[in-house]
Amino acid sequence: MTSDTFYSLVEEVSETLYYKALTVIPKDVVERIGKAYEMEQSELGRRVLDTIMKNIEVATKRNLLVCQDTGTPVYSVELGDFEISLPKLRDSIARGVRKATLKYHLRPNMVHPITRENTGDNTGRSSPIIHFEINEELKDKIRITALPKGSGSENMSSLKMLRPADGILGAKKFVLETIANAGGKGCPPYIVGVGIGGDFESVSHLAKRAVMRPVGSRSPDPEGAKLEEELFYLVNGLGVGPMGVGGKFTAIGVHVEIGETHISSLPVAVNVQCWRGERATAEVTLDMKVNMGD
Amino acid sequence: MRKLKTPLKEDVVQSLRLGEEVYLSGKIYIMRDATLRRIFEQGVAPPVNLKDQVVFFGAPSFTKDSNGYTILSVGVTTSQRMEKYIPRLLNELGVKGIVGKGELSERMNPEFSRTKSVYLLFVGGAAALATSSIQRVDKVWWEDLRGEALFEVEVNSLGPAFVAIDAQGGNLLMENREKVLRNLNALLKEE
Repeated sequence: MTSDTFYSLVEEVSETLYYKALTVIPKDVVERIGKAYEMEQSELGRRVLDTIMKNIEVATKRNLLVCQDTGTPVYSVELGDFEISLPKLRDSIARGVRKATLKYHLRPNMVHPITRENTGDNTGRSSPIIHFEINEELKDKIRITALPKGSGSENMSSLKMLRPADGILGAKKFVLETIANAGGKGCPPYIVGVGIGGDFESVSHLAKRAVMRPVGSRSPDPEGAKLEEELFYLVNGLGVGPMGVGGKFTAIGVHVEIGETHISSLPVAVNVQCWRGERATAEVTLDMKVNMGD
Repeated sequence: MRKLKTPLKEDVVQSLRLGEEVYLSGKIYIMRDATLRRIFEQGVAPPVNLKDQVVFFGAPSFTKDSNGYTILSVGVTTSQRMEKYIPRLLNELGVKGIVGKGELSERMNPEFSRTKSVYLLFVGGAAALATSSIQRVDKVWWEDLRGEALFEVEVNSLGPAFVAIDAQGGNLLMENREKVLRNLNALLKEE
Protein backbone atom coordinates (compact mmCIF):
# COMPACT_ATOMS: atom_id res chain seq x y z
CA MET A 1 0.00 0.00 0.00
CA THR A 2 1.07 3.53 -0.70
CA SER A 3 1.73 5.78 2.27
CA ASP A 4 0.97 9.43 2.82
CA THR A 5 4.66 10.20 2.43
CA PHE A 6 4.44 8.77 -1.08
CA TYR A 7 1.74 11.30 -2.00
CA SER A 8 3.72 14.16 -0.44
CA LEU A 9 6.61 13.12 -2.62
CA VAL A 10 4.36 13.12 -5.68
CA GLU A 11 3.26 16.64 -4.72
CA GLU A 12 6.85 17.82 -4.48
CA VAL A 13 7.80 16.17 -7.76
CA SER A 14 4.76 17.67 -9.54
CA GLU A 15 5.75 21.11 -8.31
CA THR A 16 9.34 20.67 -9.49
CA LEU A 17 8.29 19.30 -12.88
CA TYR A 18 6.00 22.24 -13.59
CA TYR A 19 8.79 24.77 -13.05
CA LYS A 20 11.41 22.63 -14.77
CA ALA A 21 9.28 22.30 -17.92
CA LEU A 22 9.09 26.12 -18.10
CA THR A 23 12.80 26.73 -17.57
CA VAL A 24 14.70 23.77 -19.03
CA ILE A 25 14.18 22.97 -22.71
CA PRO A 26 14.47 19.21 -23.38
CA LYS A 27 17.86 18.22 -24.84
CA ASP A 28 16.34 16.66 -27.96
CA VAL A 29 14.48 19.91 -28.71
CA VAL A 30 17.60 22.08 -28.24
CA GLU A 31 19.56 19.75 -30.54
CA ARG A 32 16.93 19.92 -33.28
CA ILE A 33 16.77 23.70 -33.12
CA GLY A 34 20.56 23.85 -33.42
CA LYS A 35 20.47 21.56 -36.44
CA ALA A 36 17.68 23.61 -38.02
CA TYR A 37 19.80 26.74 -37.55
CA GLU A 38 22.71 25.11 -39.36
CA MET A 39 20.53 23.94 -42.25
CA GLU A 40 18.12 26.86 -42.62
CA GLN A 41 18.56 28.80 -45.83
CA SER A 42 16.21 31.70 -45.22
CA GLU A 43 18.22 34.54 -43.76
CA LEU A 44 15.35 35.83 -41.64
CA GLY A 45 14.58 32.26 -40.60
CA ARG A 46 18.15 31.94 -39.36
CA ARG A 47 17.85 35.19 -37.42
CA VAL A 48 14.73 33.84 -35.73
CA LEU A 49 16.39 30.50 -34.87
CA ASP A 50 19.46 32.33 -33.58
CA THR A 51 17.18 34.45 -31.36
CA ILE A 52 15.47 31.31 -30.05
CA MET A 53 18.84 29.77 -29.12
CA LYS A 54 19.99 32.99 -27.48
CA ASN A 55 16.74 33.15 -25.52
CA ILE A 56 17.23 29.63 -24.18
CA GLU A 57 20.76 30.61 -23.13
CA VAL A 58 19.63 33.81 -21.39
CA ALA A 59 16.83 31.94 -19.60
CA THR A 60 19.36 29.47 -18.17
CA LYS A 61 21.94 32.10 -17.29
CA ARG A 62 19.54 34.53 -15.62
CA ASN A 63 17.19 31.96 -14.18
CA LEU A 64 14.18 33.20 -16.16
CA LEU A 65 11.24 31.43 -17.75
CA VAL A 66 11.95 30.57 -21.38
CA CYS A 67 8.46 31.74 -22.41
CA GLN A 68 5.99 33.80 -20.38
CA ASP A 69 3.17 31.36 -21.11
CA THR A 70 3.01 29.14 -18.06
CA GLY A 71 0.53 27.05 -19.98
CA THR A 72 -2.40 24.84 -19.18
CA PRO A 73 -1.08 22.40 -16.60
CA VAL A 74 -1.34 19.00 -18.26
CA TYR A 75 0.11 15.92 -16.56
CA SER A 76 0.47 12.40 -17.78
CA VAL A 77 0.78 9.77 -15.08
CA GLU A 78 1.84 6.29 -16.12
CA LEU A 79 0.94 3.78 -13.47
CA GLY A 80 2.89 0.62 -12.79
CA ASP A 81 1.34 -2.46 -11.25
CA PHE A 82 0.48 -1.76 -7.61
CA GLU A 83 -2.37 -0.45 -5.54
CA ILE A 84 -2.65 3.29 -5.56
CA SER A 85 -5.32 5.85 -4.74
CA LEU A 86 -6.17 7.90 -7.82
CA PRO A 87 -8.03 10.63 -5.88
CA LYS A 88 -4.97 11.08 -3.64
CA LEU A 89 -2.70 11.10 -6.65
CA ARG A 90 -4.87 13.71 -8.36
CA ASP A 91 -4.96 15.91 -5.26
CA SER A 92 -1.18 15.66 -4.79
CA ILE A 93 -0.54 16.81 -8.35
CA ALA A 94 -3.02 19.68 -7.96
CA ARG A 95 -1.27 20.75 -4.76
CA GLY A 96 2.05 20.64 -6.62
CA VAL A 97 0.65 22.90 -9.34
CA ARG A 98 -0.71 25.36 -6.80
CA LYS A 99 2.57 25.43 -4.87
CA ALA A 100 4.67 25.99 -8.01
CA THR A 101 2.34 28.76 -9.15
CA LEU A 102 2.59 30.60 -5.83
CA LYS A 103 6.25 29.90 -5.11
CA TYR A 104 7.56 30.99 -8.51
CA HIS A 105 4.85 33.62 -9.13
CA LEU A 106 3.82 31.81 -12.29
CA ARG A 107 1.16 33.56 -14.32
CA PRO A 108 -2.24 32.12 -13.39
CA ASN A 109 -3.84 31.20 -16.70
CA MET A 110 -6.88 29.15 -15.87
CA VAL A 111 -10.21 30.97 -16.14
CA HIS A 112 -13.88 29.99 -16.26
CA PRO A 113 -14.59 29.75 -20.00
CA ILE A 114 -17.74 31.88 -19.82
CA THR A 115 -17.19 34.38 -17.01
CA ARG A 116 -13.39 34.47 -17.70
CA GLU A 117 -12.88 34.56 -13.94
CA ASN A 118 -9.37 33.46 -13.01
CA THR A 119 -8.99 30.71 -10.41
CA GLY A 120 -5.76 32.45 -9.35
CA ASP A 121 -3.49 29.45 -8.89
CA ASN A 122 -3.77 27.41 -12.10
CA THR A 123 -5.92 24.78 -10.41
CA GLY A 124 -9.67 24.35 -10.41
CA ARG A 125 -12.49 21.89 -10.85
CA SER A 126 -10.79 20.37 -13.89
CA SER A 127 -7.28 21.78 -13.68
CA PRO A 128 -4.65 20.35 -13.75
CA ILE A 129 -5.67 18.08 -16.59
CA ILE A 130 -4.38 14.64 -15.64
CA HIS A 131 -4.17 11.65 -17.97
CA PHE A 132 -3.80 8.35 -16.14
CA GLU A 133 -2.22 5.67 -18.28
CA ILE A 134 -1.52 2.06 -17.52
CA ASN A 135 2.06 0.94 -18.04
CA GLU A 136 2.59 -2.29 -16.14
CA GLU A 137 6.21 -2.42 -17.32
CA LEU A 138 6.89 0.27 -14.73
CA LYS A 139 6.13 -2.35 -12.03
CA ASP A 140 6.61 -0.53 -8.69
CA LYS A 141 6.96 2.94 -10.21
CA ILE A 142 4.88 5.75 -11.57
CA ARG A 143 6.14 8.07 -14.29
CA ILE A 144 4.91 11.67 -14.18
CA THR A 145 5.26 14.02 -17.13
CA ALA A 146 4.34 17.68 -16.85
CA LEU A 147 3.36 19.45 -20.04
CA PRO A 148 2.38 23.05 -19.25
CA LYS A 149 1.00 23.51 -22.73
CA GLY A 150 1.29 27.01 -24.20
CA SER A 151 -1.90 28.42 -25.70
CA GLY A 152 -0.40 29.97 -28.84
CA SER A 153 0.23 26.57 -30.35
CA GLU A 154 -2.69 24.81 -28.63
CA ASN A 155 -5.09 27.29 -30.28
CA MET A 156 -3.79 26.21 -33.69
CA SER A 157 -4.67 22.54 -33.07
CA SER A 158 -7.50 20.86 -34.92
CA LEU A 159 -9.60 17.68 -35.12
CA LYS A 160 -11.57 16.20 -37.98
CA MET A 161 -13.75 13.13 -38.34
CA LEU A 162 -12.73 11.96 -41.81
CA ARG A 163 -14.46 9.22 -43.78
CA PRO A 164 -12.61 5.94 -44.31
CA ALA A 165 -12.86 6.72 -48.04
CA ASP A 166 -10.72 9.84 -47.48
CA GLY A 167 -7.93 7.46 -46.57
CA ILE A 168 -4.40 8.31 -45.57
CA LEU A 169 -4.30 10.96 -48.28
CA GLY A 170 -7.17 12.76 -46.58
CA ALA A 171 -5.32 12.56 -43.27
CA LYS A 172 -2.16 14.05 -44.79
CA LYS A 173 -4.17 16.82 -46.41
CA PHE A 174 -5.76 17.68 -43.07
CA VAL A 175 -2.38 17.81 -41.30
CA LEU A 176 -0.94 20.07 -44.01
CA GLU A 177 -3.95 22.38 -43.98
CA THR A 178 -3.80 22.65 -40.20
CA ILE A 179 -0.12 23.63 -40.24
CA ALA A 180 -0.55 26.01 -43.19
CA ASN A 181 -3.38 27.65 -41.29
CA ALA A 182 -1.32 27.85 -38.09
CA GLY A 183 1.32 29.73 -40.07
CA GLY A 184 3.53 31.74 -37.73
CA LYS A 185 0.88 32.15 -35.03
CA GLY A 186 1.75 29.10 -32.93
CA CYS A 187 5.53 29.77 -32.77
CA PRO A 188 7.16 27.49 -35.35
CA PRO A 189 9.32 25.50 -35.88
CA TYR A 190 6.66 23.17 -34.50
CA ILE A 191 6.56 19.73 -33.03
CA VAL A 192 3.51 18.32 -34.80
CA GLY A 193 1.57 15.65 -32.92
CA VAL A 194 -0.82 13.64 -35.06
CA GLY A 195 -3.40 11.22 -33.71
CA ILE A 196 -5.07 8.82 -36.11
CA GLY A 197 -7.87 6.47 -35.12
CA GLY A 198 -9.68 5.88 -31.87
CA ASP A 199 -12.83 7.96 -31.35
CA PHE A 200 -13.55 11.69 -31.12
CA GLU A 201 -12.15 11.91 -27.61
CA SER A 202 -9.18 9.56 -27.74
CA VAL A 203 -7.81 10.84 -31.06
CA SER A 204 -6.91 14.19 -29.51
CA HIS A 205 -5.36 12.37 -26.59
CA LEU A 206 -3.24 10.40 -29.09
CA ALA A 207 -2.15 13.68 -30.70
CA LYS A 208 -1.17 15.13 -27.34
CA ARG A 209 0.73 11.99 -26.45
CA ALA A 210 2.57 12.40 -29.75
CA VAL A 211 3.89 15.85 -28.79
CA MET A 212 5.11 14.46 -25.46
CA ARG A 213 7.53 12.10 -27.17
CA PRO A 214 11.21 13.06 -27.55
CA VAL A 215 11.64 14.83 -30.86
CA GLY A 216 12.71 12.48 -33.61
CA SER A 217 11.56 9.31 -31.83
CA ARG A 218 9.70 6.91 -34.10
CA SER A 219 6.27 5.35 -33.77
CA PRO A 220 6.48 1.62 -32.97
CA ASP A 221 3.72 1.08 -35.55
CA PRO A 222 5.41 0.66 -38.97
CA GLU A 223 2.60 2.53 -40.74
CA GLY A 224 2.86 5.30 -38.17
CA ALA A 225 6.64 5.51 -38.57
CA LYS A 226 6.33 5.72 -42.36
CA LEU A 227 3.74 8.45 -42.07
CA GLU A 228 5.98 10.40 -39.69
CA GLU A 229 8.72 10.55 -42.31
CA GLU A 230 6.35 11.48 -45.12
CA LEU A 231 4.64 14.17 -43.07
CA PHE A 232 7.96 15.64 -41.92
CA TYR A 233 8.92 16.14 -45.55
CA LEU A 234 5.49 17.49 -46.51
CA VAL A 235 5.11 19.88 -43.57
CA ASN A 236 8.54 21.33 -44.20
CA GLY A 237 7.64 21.73 -47.85
CA LEU A 238 5.06 24.34 -46.83
CA GLY A 239 7.66 27.04 -46.25
CA VAL A 240 6.02 28.61 -43.18
CA GLY A 241 9.48 28.75 -41.62
CA PRO A 242 10.57 29.91 -38.15
CA MET A 243 7.90 32.27 -36.74
CA GLY A 244 6.25 32.36 -40.18
CA VAL A 245 8.97 34.40 -41.89
CA GLY A 246 9.57 31.66 -44.47
CA GLY A 247 12.17 28.93 -44.61
CA LYS A 248 12.89 25.23 -44.62
CA PHE A 249 11.98 24.58 -41.01
CA THR A 250 8.28 24.71 -40.24
CA ALA A 251 8.64 21.68 -37.98
CA ILE A 252 11.51 20.11 -36.08
CA GLY A 253 9.54 16.91 -35.61
CA VAL A 254 6.36 15.13 -36.62
CA HIS A 255 5.07 12.33 -34.39
CA VAL A 256 2.15 10.04 -35.16
CA GLU A 257 0.21 7.96 -32.63
CA ILE A 258 -2.17 5.31 -33.82
CA GLY A 259 -5.24 3.68 -32.27
CA GLU A 260 -7.83 1.25 -33.59
CA THR A 261 -10.96 2.92 -34.88
CA HIS A 262 -14.50 1.96 -35.91
CA ILE A 263 -15.13 0.47 -39.38
CA SER A 264 -16.95 3.65 -40.40
CA SER A 265 -14.55 6.18 -38.84
CA LEU A 266 -11.26 7.89 -39.53
CA PRO A 267 -10.65 10.48 -36.81
CA VAL A 268 -7.54 12.64 -37.21
CA ALA A 269 -6.26 15.16 -34.68
CA VAL A 270 -3.34 17.54 -34.97
CA ASN A 271 -1.87 18.91 -31.76
CA VAL A 272 0.47 21.76 -32.54
CA GLN A 273 3.39 22.27 -30.17
CA CYS A 274 5.61 25.35 -30.28
CA TRP A 275 9.42 25.23 -30.54
CA ARG A 276 9.72 25.31 -26.73
CA GLY A 277 8.48 21.70 -26.57
CA GLU A 278 7.85 22.06 -22.85
CA ARG A 279 7.87 18.78 -20.96
CA ALA A 280 9.58 17.33 -17.91
CA THR A 281 9.45 13.77 -16.64
CA ALA A 282 10.28 12.00 -13.38
CA GLU A 283 9.78 8.54 -11.98
CA VAL A 284 8.76 7.84 -8.42
CA THR A 285 9.09 4.37 -6.95
CA LEU A 286 6.85 2.90 -4.32
CA ASP A 287 9.78 2.91 -1.88
CA MET A 288 10.15 6.62 -2.60
CA LYS A 289 13.11 6.95 -4.85
CA VAL A 290 12.89 9.75 -7.38
CA ASN A 291 14.56 9.75 -10.76
CA MET A 292 14.28 13.24 -12.22
CA GLY A 293 15.47 12.38 -15.73
CA ASP A 294 17.60 14.79 -17.76
CA MET B 1 19.98 46.60 -37.54
CA ARG B 2 18.30 49.78 -36.29
CA LYS B 3 17.98 51.19 -32.80
CA LEU B 4 14.64 52.91 -32.24
CA LYS B 5 13.59 55.24 -29.44
CA THR B 6 10.02 55.47 -28.23
CA PRO B 7 7.78 57.40 -28.73
CA LEU B 8 8.30 56.73 -32.43
CA LYS B 9 8.76 59.59 -34.88
CA GLU B 10 6.80 59.45 -38.11
CA ASP B 11 9.81 59.92 -40.40
CA VAL B 12 11.63 57.08 -38.65
CA VAL B 13 8.63 54.78 -39.02
CA GLN B 14 8.32 55.67 -42.70
CA SER B 15 11.95 54.79 -43.30
CA LEU B 16 11.54 51.24 -41.90
CA ARG B 17 11.54 48.44 -44.45
CA LEU B 18 9.90 45.03 -44.36
CA GLY B 19 12.09 42.44 -42.64
CA GLU B 20 14.38 45.05 -41.09
CA GLU B 21 15.71 44.13 -37.65
CA VAL B 22 15.07 46.69 -34.90
CA TYR B 23 15.71 47.15 -31.16
CA LEU B 24 13.47 49.37 -29.05
CA SER B 25 14.41 51.60 -26.14
CA GLY B 26 12.19 53.85 -24.03
CA LYS B 27 8.67 53.38 -22.71
CA ILE B 28 6.41 50.68 -24.07
CA TYR B 29 2.86 49.76 -23.08
CA ILE B 30 1.98 46.12 -22.43
CA MET B 31 -1.62 45.01 -22.94
CA ARG B 32 -3.72 42.29 -24.55
CA ASP B 33 -7.19 40.71 -24.77
CA ALA B 34 -8.85 41.79 -21.52
CA THR B 35 -7.17 45.23 -21.50
CA LEU B 36 -8.45 45.94 -25.00
CA ARG B 37 -11.92 44.61 -24.22
CA ARG B 38 -12.05 47.10 -21.35
CA ILE B 39 -11.04 50.00 -23.60
CA PHE B 40 -13.03 49.20 -26.71
CA GLU B 41 -15.95 47.02 -25.58
CA GLN B 42 -16.64 48.56 -22.19
CA GLY B 43 -15.66 52.05 -23.39
CA VAL B 44 -13.27 52.84 -20.53
CA ALA B 45 -10.83 55.51 -21.71
CA PRO B 46 -7.18 54.43 -21.34
CA PRO B 47 -5.61 56.15 -18.32
CA VAL B 48 -2.58 57.24 -20.35
CA ASN B 49 -2.04 59.01 -23.67
CA LEU B 50 -0.81 56.44 -26.20
CA LYS B 51 -0.11 58.86 -29.06
CA ASP B 52 3.06 57.81 -30.95
CA GLN B 53 3.71 55.09 -28.39
CA VAL B 54 4.53 51.43 -28.86
CA VAL B 55 2.11 48.75 -27.69
CA PHE B 56 3.43 45.30 -26.83
CA PHE B 57 0.87 42.48 -26.86
CA GLY B 58 1.56 40.42 -23.76
CA ALA B 59 0.58 39.52 -20.21
CA PRO B 60 3.44 39.54 -17.71
CA SER B 61 3.73 37.68 -14.47
CA PHE B 62 4.69 40.16 -11.78
CA THR B 63 5.14 40.80 -8.09
CA LYS B 64 4.41 43.91 -6.08
CA ASP B 65 6.06 45.01 -2.86
CA SER B 66 7.07 48.26 -1.14
CA ASN B 67 9.64 48.90 -3.89
CA GLY B 68 6.97 48.69 -6.56
CA TYR B 69 6.33 46.19 -9.33
CA THR B 70 8.73 43.64 -10.74
CA ILE B 71 8.00 41.81 -13.96
CA LEU B 72 9.19 38.22 -13.65
CA SER B 73 8.38 37.19 -17.20
CA VAL B 74 6.91 38.85 -20.24
CA GLY B 75 6.80 37.80 -23.86
CA VAL B 76 4.75 38.38 -26.90
CA THR B 77 1.34 36.86 -27.65
CA THR B 78 -0.54 36.06 -30.88
CA SER B 79 -1.59 39.36 -32.47
CA GLN B 80 -4.44 37.93 -34.51
CA ARG B 81 -6.69 37.81 -31.43
CA MET B 82 -6.29 41.58 -31.11
CA GLU B 83 -6.89 42.32 -34.81
CA LYS B 84 -10.39 43.58 -34.12
CA TYR B 85 -8.99 46.41 -31.98
CA ILE B 86 -5.91 47.35 -34.02
CA PRO B 87 -7.63 49.89 -36.34
CA ARG B 88 -8.90 51.77 -33.28
CA LEU B 89 -5.54 51.59 -31.49
CA LEU B 90 -3.91 53.18 -34.54
CA ASN B 91 -6.62 55.60 -35.68
CA GLU B 92 -8.23 56.71 -32.44
CA LEU B 93 -5.42 56.38 -29.91
CA GLY B 94 -2.57 57.27 -32.28
CA VAL B 95 -0.41 54.23 -31.46
CA LYS B 96 2.64 54.19 -33.80
CA GLY B 97 4.00 50.71 -33.29
CA ILE B 98 2.60 47.33 -32.32
CA VAL B 99 4.82 44.48 -31.20
CA GLY B 100 3.31 41.01 -31.50
CA LYS B 101 3.71 37.67 -33.16
CA GLY B 102 2.05 35.89 -36.05
CA GLU B 103 0.19 37.01 -39.12
CA LEU B 104 -2.10 40.03 -39.23
CA SER B 105 -4.43 39.90 -42.25
CA GLU B 106 -4.08 42.09 -45.35
CA ARG B 107 -7.00 44.14 -44.06
CA MET B 108 -4.52 45.62 -41.59
CA ASN B 109 -2.13 46.88 -44.29
CA PRO B 110 -4.06 50.09 -45.12
CA GLU B 111 -4.59 50.74 -41.40
CA PHE B 112 -0.85 50.81 -40.81
CA SER B 113 -0.06 52.76 -43.98
CA ARG B 114 -2.80 55.35 -43.44
CA THR B 115 -1.61 56.02 -39.91
CA LYS B 116 2.12 55.75 -40.79
CA SER B 117 2.68 53.09 -38.22
CA VAL B 118 4.41 49.73 -38.03
CA TYR B 119 3.82 46.13 -36.92
CA LEU B 120 6.89 44.52 -35.42
CA LEU B 121 7.32 40.76 -35.11
CA PHE B 122 8.97 39.66 -31.88
CA VAL B 123 10.04 36.03 -31.63
CA GLY B 124 7.31 34.14 -29.81
CA GLY B 125 8.52 32.38 -26.71
CA ALA B 126 11.56 34.63 -26.39
CA ALA B 127 10.42 35.87 -22.98
CA ALA B 128 13.85 35.64 -21.36
CA LEU B 129 15.13 38.20 -23.88
CA ALA B 130 12.11 40.49 -23.51
CA THR B 131 12.21 40.27 -19.73
CA SER B 132 15.92 41.09 -19.52
CA SER B 133 15.37 44.26 -21.55
CA ILE B 134 13.07 45.70 -18.88
CA GLN B 135 14.72 48.49 -16.88
CA ARG B 136 11.78 49.26 -14.63
CA VAL B 137 8.01 49.16 -14.38
CA ASP B 138 6.73 52.73 -14.25
CA LYS B 139 3.01 52.23 -13.82
CA VAL B 140 0.36 49.55 -13.69
CA TRP B 141 -3.32 50.32 -14.23
CA TRP B 142 -6.31 47.98 -13.90
CA GLU B 143 -4.58 45.48 -11.69
CA ASP B 144 -7.85 43.57 -11.35
CA LEU B 145 -7.05 42.20 -14.82
CA ARG B 146 -3.95 40.51 -13.34
CA GLY B 147 -1.45 39.78 -16.15
CA GLU B 148 -3.77 41.53 -18.56
CA ALA B 149 -3.50 44.84 -16.69
CA LEU B 150 -2.02 47.83 -18.54
CA PHE B 151 1.71 48.18 -17.90
CA GLU B 152 3.96 51.15 -18.63
CA VAL B 153 7.49 49.82 -18.77
CA GLU B 154 10.92 51.24 -19.60
CA VAL B 155 12.93 48.94 -21.87
CA ASN B 156 16.49 49.02 -23.14
CA SER B 157 17.21 47.43 -26.49
CA LEU B 158 14.13 45.20 -26.63
CA GLY B 159 14.74 42.95 -29.59
CA PRO B 160 15.38 41.68 -32.08
CA ALA B 161 12.04 42.58 -33.66
CA PHE B 162 11.41 42.41 -37.40
CA VAL B 163 9.33 44.85 -39.42
CA ALA B 164 6.32 42.74 -40.42
CA ILE B 165 3.90 45.44 -41.68
CA ASP B 166 5.53 48.67 -42.80
CA ALA B 167 4.07 52.14 -43.35
CA GLN B 168 4.02 51.47 -47.10
CA GLY B 169 1.48 48.68 -46.60
CA GLY B 170 3.83 45.73 -47.08
CA ASN B 171 3.03 42.61 -45.06
CA LEU B 172 5.94 40.22 -44.57
CA LEU B 173 4.05 37.31 -43.02
CA MET B 174 1.05 37.45 -45.36
CA GLU B 175 3.35 37.58 -48.37
CA ASN B 176 4.95 34.40 -47.05
CA ARG B 177 1.51 32.95 -46.38
CA GLU B 178 0.65 33.31 -50.08
CA LYS B 179 3.72 31.24 -50.87
CA VAL B 180 2.67 28.69 -48.24
CA LEU B 181 -0.77 28.31 -49.84
CA ARG B 182 0.82 27.82 -53.28
CA ASN B 183 3.18 25.22 -51.76
CA LEU B 184 0.22 23.53 -50.07
CA ASN B 185 -1.62 23.15 -53.37
CA ALA B 186 1.48 21.87 -55.14
CA LEU B 187 2.16 19.32 -52.36
CA LEU B 188 -1.43 18.06 -52.43
CA LYS B 189 -1.29 17.63 -56.19
CA GLU B 190 1.95 15.67 -55.90
CA GLU B 191 0.47 13.27 -53.38
